[in-house]
Amino acid sequence: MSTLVFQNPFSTRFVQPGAIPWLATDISLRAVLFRLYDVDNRAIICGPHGSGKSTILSHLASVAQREGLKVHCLRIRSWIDAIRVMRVFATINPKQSLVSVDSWELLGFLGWFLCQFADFRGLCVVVTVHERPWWNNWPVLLHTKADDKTFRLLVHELMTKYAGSKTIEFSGAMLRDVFQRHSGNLREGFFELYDHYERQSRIPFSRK
Amino acid sequence: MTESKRVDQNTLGSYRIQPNPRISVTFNRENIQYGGGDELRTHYIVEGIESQSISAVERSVVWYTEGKGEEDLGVVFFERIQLERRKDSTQTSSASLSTDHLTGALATDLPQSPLSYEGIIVKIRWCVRVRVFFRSGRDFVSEHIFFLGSVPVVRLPAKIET
Repeated sequence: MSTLVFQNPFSTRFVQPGAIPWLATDISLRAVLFRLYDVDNRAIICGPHGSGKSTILSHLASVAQREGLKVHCLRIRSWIDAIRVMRVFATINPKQSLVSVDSWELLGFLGWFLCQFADFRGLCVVVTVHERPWWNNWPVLLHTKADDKTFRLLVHELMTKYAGSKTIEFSGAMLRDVFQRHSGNLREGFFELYDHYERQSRIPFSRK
Repeated sequence: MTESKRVDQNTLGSYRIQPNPRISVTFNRENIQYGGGDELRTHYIVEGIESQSISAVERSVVWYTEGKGEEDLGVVFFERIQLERRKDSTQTSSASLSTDHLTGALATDLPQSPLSYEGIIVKIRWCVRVRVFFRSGRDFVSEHIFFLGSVPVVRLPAKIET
């Protein structure tokens, strides 16, 4: 019988949106929320895969909740989810709610209809997209782009908080290499580090 | 009684405005290993914070998967204890909570499966989870791992190891 626990700091539970911090230093999350009010309450967060769109969306939702808004978080997996979005858009109180929608562009042309409906009701909506779809003319609230320094900081934070082993370390050169190999996709970078960490943490055990 | 490996998570980690509590859980088995159908009995203590800052405590016994994919979760025991604020700002105590430092106990029968598993791609973990909700809106979760069954830990294939 064994009571060994190989906790991997790069597991989905530790790196998923909301679990990792948003490390931008140039603007605070509250400032982003106020910027949303300035642009008429509806906006887009735009950026490539794994650049932190869902992470900032999740943190923005937390801040809005702390500001007293009722927050509805939705994630689109296919165009069928348009029904769910429509139901939320139709039933919420526009003055006291914020709707955050991840992967908005998956709605396709149905998104255009939902944009019109949100405009008509004056809802407060933030959505994430990889590239602005032609049918959506909401302003861009933020353009996310991950950099090498952010990746290293996040890895350091994850290792400090969740690493089961204190002997495993990743060099700066290795992290730069991982980051560049995945073209700035933090999620893919974390997944590669998951494998490295798993391998290194089990070597001493496997040799016994 | 024994204390197990602990994982603490702060859902609003970036916005800490008050210190995190220390939550310790002790189990009724020294080696924290249980079999299917066994009774799990635990006792927990929440320390390091003012008790009147807490609005509720949730305690649960859950299993979850951990790895590179999406997580699965199963709950075998769940209880939420809502704490009311008195006029003199001291904490009211529920049947299983004391006031000086919050303490509590829980007991439940464990199911036959899923068994704890320490794989490479995926792991299955069992834990006692204590979640503290603060009046400020923040919450804090502490997980205390135990083991169901005795599936051996997965070893690295020899060619990867070398």
